[in-house]
Amino acid sequence: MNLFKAIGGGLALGLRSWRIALLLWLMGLLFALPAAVFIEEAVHEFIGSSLAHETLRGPMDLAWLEEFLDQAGGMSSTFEPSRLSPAAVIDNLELWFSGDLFKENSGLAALGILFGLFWTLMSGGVLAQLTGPENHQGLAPFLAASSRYFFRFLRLVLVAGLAYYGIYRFSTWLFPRLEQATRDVTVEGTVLAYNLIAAAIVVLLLILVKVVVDYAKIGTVIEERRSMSIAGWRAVQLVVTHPIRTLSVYFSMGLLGLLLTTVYFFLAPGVAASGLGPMVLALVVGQLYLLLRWMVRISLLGAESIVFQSIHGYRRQGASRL
Amino acid sequence: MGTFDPGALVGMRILRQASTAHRRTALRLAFWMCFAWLWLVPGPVTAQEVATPVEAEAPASPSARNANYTIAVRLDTEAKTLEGRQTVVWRNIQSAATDELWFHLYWNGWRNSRSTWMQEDQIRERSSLDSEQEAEDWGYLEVDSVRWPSTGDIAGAARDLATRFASPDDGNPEDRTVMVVSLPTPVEPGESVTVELAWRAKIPRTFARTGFRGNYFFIAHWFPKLGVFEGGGWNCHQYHSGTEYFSDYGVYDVAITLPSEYVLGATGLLVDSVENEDGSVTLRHFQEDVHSFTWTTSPDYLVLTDRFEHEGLPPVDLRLLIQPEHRSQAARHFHATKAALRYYGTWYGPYPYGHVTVVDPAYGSGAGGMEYPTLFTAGTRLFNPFGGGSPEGVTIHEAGHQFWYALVGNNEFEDAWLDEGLNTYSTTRTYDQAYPPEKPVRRYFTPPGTEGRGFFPLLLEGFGYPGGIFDERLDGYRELATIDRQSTPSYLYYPSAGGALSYSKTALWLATLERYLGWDVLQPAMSKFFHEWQYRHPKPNDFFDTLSDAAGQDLSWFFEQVYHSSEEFDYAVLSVSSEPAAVEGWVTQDGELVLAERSAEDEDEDDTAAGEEDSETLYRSEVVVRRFGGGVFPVEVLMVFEDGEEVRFRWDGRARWKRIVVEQTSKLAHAVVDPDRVLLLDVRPSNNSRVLETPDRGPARKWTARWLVWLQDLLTYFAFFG
Repeated sequence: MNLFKAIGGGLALGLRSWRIALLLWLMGLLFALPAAVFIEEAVHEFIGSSLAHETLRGPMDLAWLEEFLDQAGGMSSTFEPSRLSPAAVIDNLELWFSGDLFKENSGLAALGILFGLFWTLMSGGVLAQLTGPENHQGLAPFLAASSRYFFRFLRLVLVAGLAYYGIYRFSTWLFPRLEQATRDVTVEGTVLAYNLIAAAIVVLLLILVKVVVDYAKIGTVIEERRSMSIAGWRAVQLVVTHPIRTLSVYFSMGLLGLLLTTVYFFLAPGVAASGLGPMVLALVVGQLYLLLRWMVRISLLGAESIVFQSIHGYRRQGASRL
Repeated sequence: MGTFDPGALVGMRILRQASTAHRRTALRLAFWMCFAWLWLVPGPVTAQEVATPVEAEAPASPSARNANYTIAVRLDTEAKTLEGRQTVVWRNIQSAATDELWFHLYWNGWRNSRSTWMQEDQIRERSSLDSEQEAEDWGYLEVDSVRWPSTGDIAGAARDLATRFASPDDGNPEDRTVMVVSLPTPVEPGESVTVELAWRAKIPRTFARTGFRGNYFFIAHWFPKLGVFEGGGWNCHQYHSGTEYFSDYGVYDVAITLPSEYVLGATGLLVDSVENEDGSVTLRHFQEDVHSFTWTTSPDYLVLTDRFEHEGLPPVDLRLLIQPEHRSQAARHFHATKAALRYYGTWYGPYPYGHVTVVDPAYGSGAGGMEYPTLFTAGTRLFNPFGGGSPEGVTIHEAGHQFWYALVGNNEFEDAWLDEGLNTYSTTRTYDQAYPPEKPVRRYFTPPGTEGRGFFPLLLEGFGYPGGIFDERLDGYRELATIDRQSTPSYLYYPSAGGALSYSKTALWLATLERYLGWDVLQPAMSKFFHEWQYRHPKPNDFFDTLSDAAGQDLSWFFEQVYHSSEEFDYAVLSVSSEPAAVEGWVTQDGELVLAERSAEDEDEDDTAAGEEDSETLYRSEVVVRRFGGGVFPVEVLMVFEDGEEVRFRWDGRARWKRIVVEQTSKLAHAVVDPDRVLLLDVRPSNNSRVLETPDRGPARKWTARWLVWLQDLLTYFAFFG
């Protein structure tokens, strides 16, 4: 099976799994809403009865925002300009790359870890839907598969977590040394090139672990494995013996995700407009972007499942109809 | 010439030094007078006829020129060292005698970790000591000899002079940044003394914008430099990590020897160039009436030139030394420099030197954003979109220091705010005049674990300062507003408070004065201060007195608060109310006491008034304003009514609170204290207004909806690990 067929098949699975994507998007929204309610209250309270309630309907008054941030604690301190604009998605990409996701704010880190666990729970059901026979599809099998694989995946994720931690530690070791090594370089372009190469290495390592985890999960579901050590080891073997197919699928779908992020960044409504209409439009576009991101994520798993089945000669099945 | 011999060059200079400066001025004037004479006077003239009146009319130098330096220095680019010889001619312009000369040896601040500079830097939690220092990173300035030659007003046999190190500020015996030279004979008022120094210096990896990175060198405050003799003693502070410099004006004649492929930028003008047999080149720069001499060199600099011309101001030749990768930003550097020369020149006084060198420092050199006479460093990045304020802001600021500090030479050790604050205020005004409002910039791709700033910038649209460009300064000030008094000597400021107190606070109180007095009062006052104190050393009271004189009122109440105290200003509208003005209780009617009660009809009227516009109903509107901060400032209180009518009250702002009651036929809509934002020092402008009706949650929801998308997107990244 060539790359394009795998990606095409993955996208087809992703499209057919829109209900799963919708569920994951909805759950993401539900996870985020309590924090948003808290922030909305903090902002509203700080606006109080001042005239800011008029001026802030339009563009953001940075003087007001800076004053708000000066007194803000906890989660409110993340209410920064770039996060209130379409650039928010780039902020998150940077947080992921730097490993600062967990350092940004303890409350958000806890929420994020909870959501990560939720995804671990759901991913069993998602994979079962993507790879299982059609007569096993629907909400009940989905939930059953989710619970069946959760603790196996949890063990896998804990081991993978150590690998991710190691990569981020390596990253914070690597870049300062690169800075030290280039401290006599006077051309920013040269230093940037070195940093991009180093960043590529870090991203590649993160993705390698991620790909192994994905194939270990897929193998667990398709081959109904109980031992995560064996599933993990088999996934490593798979990636090592078929690096082009496994990684190119991931990178292709990753690029699609990046493309989606870029399109959102450029198409998302600006922040200056006032009124209910622009607010709703911005919210809708944002939610649509998030929904599509989940669809890309599911498509990636679908494509990886196809690659797995192809390499191992399993008969391909699965057409999610949750 | 064979191998470099600094002594020979200095010897040559010594012979010419006494009369060089004067002769150059005279020759230059002679040329122009001759030129004018040939045009204006018909008939033949002789050289003798032209020269005679010039000699007679030669003006006095603009500065005292009492600290003059002739220096020969050689740069070893491999060893990162300097070897120098210098002759210093110092004239005592004070009324007291002295038998000492005090020199700054600034580079000894980076000699080791025990210096006062390094100790203070650690307190300020900067990174210098956190990162691993290598042997080549440290710097020093080692004086090998100080000789007393038989020249100057005081004759005597040549001899080596005794030296010692002094630590006048903190008594740190390990600090070697101040050297005291004992003279065999006191220098009486009006007398001059000449000394020769031989020294060696190790160029550090950049500290305080001075040092090297690869083949890039920025050499500032590099030679043994006299302190300032004033008030019967030497003002020669140790080098501190949080403050800058102070020195007298003089004439600098500096010969720099370096590899011929290196491009040199320096204070003054190039007057001589000699190619040496060893492949090096000796470039001699000369500048009168400056208080320092700085240079930079690198083989990579691109040299571009331009010229500033503006009606009513003298032209200025601009020389830009720019990194090749920033070639496309050259025009932006020139434009910003010209903006500074234009607006500062128009507002305060012309830039007199006729030339200025703009330096774009090498990436990562840490040398950006610093001022030196006739030369300054800007600083940009590979990617720097127009509209984000960089490099325009820093270029204007450092070009502006040619006025505030290079020309008006206050003591930066003690009163850093006097140049930094005036200049920050002027920078902000200039930027506002020359450029569209600045947008915030978020830089991405900051390598983890480093202190660098991201490589890729992004302008954020839809964010700004509708209250005016000075609001940008408020955030930096607010956090440290009460931490120290501005009158504390700058080198004793609470660590890291210098930015807030010297830069932001001064800019904010000057902008407040501008709005309080008017630009038509403040601008002439600052211009007067500039003209009276250029080439001299003003003290804070000199500035305050000038402003009070110009304003025609005693402003000491203001300066007492912003300069001598650390109180913050914070006025707020505490409450607003507006009710029908019906009277209850005993009232006098036709000479009799009558009990007035609210009837059911009155209640109905209230309801009517609340629901409909009733022009007959009289409303009693009440506003309570409060002074939360310790600072006192007269403010206006604006009451805006539902029918659009506005009523303003003047409040002296002294009491802790004030109630204002107005009876109008319209209900109050909202009230604002200081509605015109005169008091830009008000640290919490968000509490300056209050509306009567409880506002809806629209704005909070609008911005939270944006934040919600960010959080949801963030959660998907957590799913990456699951």
